Amino acid sequence: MIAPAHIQSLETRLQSRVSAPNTMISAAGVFDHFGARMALEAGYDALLVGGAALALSRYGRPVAQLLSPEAITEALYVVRDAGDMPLIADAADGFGNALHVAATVRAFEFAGASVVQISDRPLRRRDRSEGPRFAVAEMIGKLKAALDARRYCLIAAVVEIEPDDSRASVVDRTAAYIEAGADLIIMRSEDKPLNLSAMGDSSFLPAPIGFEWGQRLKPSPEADLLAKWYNLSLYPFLFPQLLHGARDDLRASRTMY
Amino acid sequence: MAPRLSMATIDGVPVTDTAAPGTSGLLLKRRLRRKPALLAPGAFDALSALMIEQAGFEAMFISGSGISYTQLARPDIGLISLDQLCQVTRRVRDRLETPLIVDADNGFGDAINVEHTVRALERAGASAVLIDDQAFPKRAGALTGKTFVTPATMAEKVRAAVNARREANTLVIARTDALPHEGIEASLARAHLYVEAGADALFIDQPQSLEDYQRIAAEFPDTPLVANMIEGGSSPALSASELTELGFGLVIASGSLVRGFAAMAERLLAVLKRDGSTAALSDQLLTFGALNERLGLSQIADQGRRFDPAFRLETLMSTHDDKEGGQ
Repeated sequence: MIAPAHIQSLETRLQSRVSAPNTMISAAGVFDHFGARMALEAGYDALLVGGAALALSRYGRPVAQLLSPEAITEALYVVRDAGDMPLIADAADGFGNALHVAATVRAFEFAGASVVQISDRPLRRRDRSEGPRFAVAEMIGKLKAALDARRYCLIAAVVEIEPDDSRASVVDRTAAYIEAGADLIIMRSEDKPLNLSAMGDSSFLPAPIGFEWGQRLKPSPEADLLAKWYNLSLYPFLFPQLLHGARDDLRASRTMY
Repeated sequence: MAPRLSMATIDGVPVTDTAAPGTSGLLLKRRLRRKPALLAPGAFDALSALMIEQAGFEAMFISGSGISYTQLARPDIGLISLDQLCQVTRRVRDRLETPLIVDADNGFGDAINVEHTVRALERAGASAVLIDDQAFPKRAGALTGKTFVTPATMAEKVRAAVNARREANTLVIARTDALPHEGIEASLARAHLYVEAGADALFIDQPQSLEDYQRIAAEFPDTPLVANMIEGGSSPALSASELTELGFGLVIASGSLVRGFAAMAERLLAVLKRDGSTAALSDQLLTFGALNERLGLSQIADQGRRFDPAFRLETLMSTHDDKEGGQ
């Protein structure tokens, strides 16, 4: 069975990055075919679908809990039709137990995803006593289910970083997810990318590492850091931020007629 | 949700990866060259499709009429959109591996729309896409009052479909519905244009007599031919083996299953209303457990245990086809 070209090329690029710096892949968050085409024409290497940004586009609120896997699948089909680019699908926490993770991975892959990312933050907490993240063992169960269900797409583990997380705890989780077989790690934070060089032991680096810019962050030049230590930069809120920035034009357009 | 539990076979060989692009179309293409004719019942949702697969059919037809009947409770008068069709096709493809022949009506518009339709259905998991020559809005082939695009326009749509497919093995089946309106000669002329435009198989619907079937077979000895069996339709009622003898390669029973379901529903509902229970029919119903077994409950439970030894999922009721526990 041969993986589709968009997966093979992404895999090659991600692997080569581990030894060859400055080949950062930039992924733009998109919601539809037109946006996808604009992002590709603008030179983005990859596209990203799902998560809070898609919920904002669809339902007006950046709340990933509003999205069903089916809504994301529909968006993936529409975006995949725009080209053969690498396409990253945000599967939140996998939408349930291992069976739901498996069903989600299969549906997203079939809809054209090159990467399915699964986050260690519960989409809905079962009760208040539950922490902000899954226990490492539970997250590993999800990753194993995802790896078992995929045919050829890559499985990314999203490491959610809270402001008060210690570097050691981030390293430990990352290492555990790589050990469990994650093809790719995506760090997600509302703060700037962690300086991975400062993380001491870099033995967890054999897997490619991506950084996902939060809702209130714009990719910035300090991302030298990024280019040096990360392989992939994900920008889910690109279009909402662009549209927000175009409010004056929008207002002006109304008075033209 | 459920694991793929493939039971599909083509020529007795298990189909293991029809989700891989082009595989199911290739299997279908090869199978159409062999006798007896491939018999494809019509599905309209994932359950009906699963029952067709479990009954051992090698292919199935995703029927626009069936979707209109079951999703909208309306006759097939062109109310189904491409999105609805894609959604049904995806759900079926996610559940099973059997090659899917998808009824794309008139392609939902002109040649430009046809390109989009073929691509969308391929992505949704179609192995073959069937396009007819009705004008918009279209209706079921067995209804009167249909209108048609010109033969040249349809040929252009077939060409668009053939060029739009991403996998060379996806079959494009061209259907003409014009026979009852324009006669056999005009329909054969249409069909020749469609084959020249690249159609992989040909479907001249609503033959009015045995002679019509014979004419069609004689006219196209080298093209896989499709026939539909509609119970109570205007075409002579021929069986799959009779159609094989005549030279047809694919026989669709597009509406048999939905008509069977509807008839059973009437009987069951009459009994339930009369008796206040379904006891009088209990030997004809699947129990809760038996239905869940068909839906793959125990395989799902096995899958769950692979990732979590404490995972439990059983029915509280008997899984045998007995008379207890019907729900």
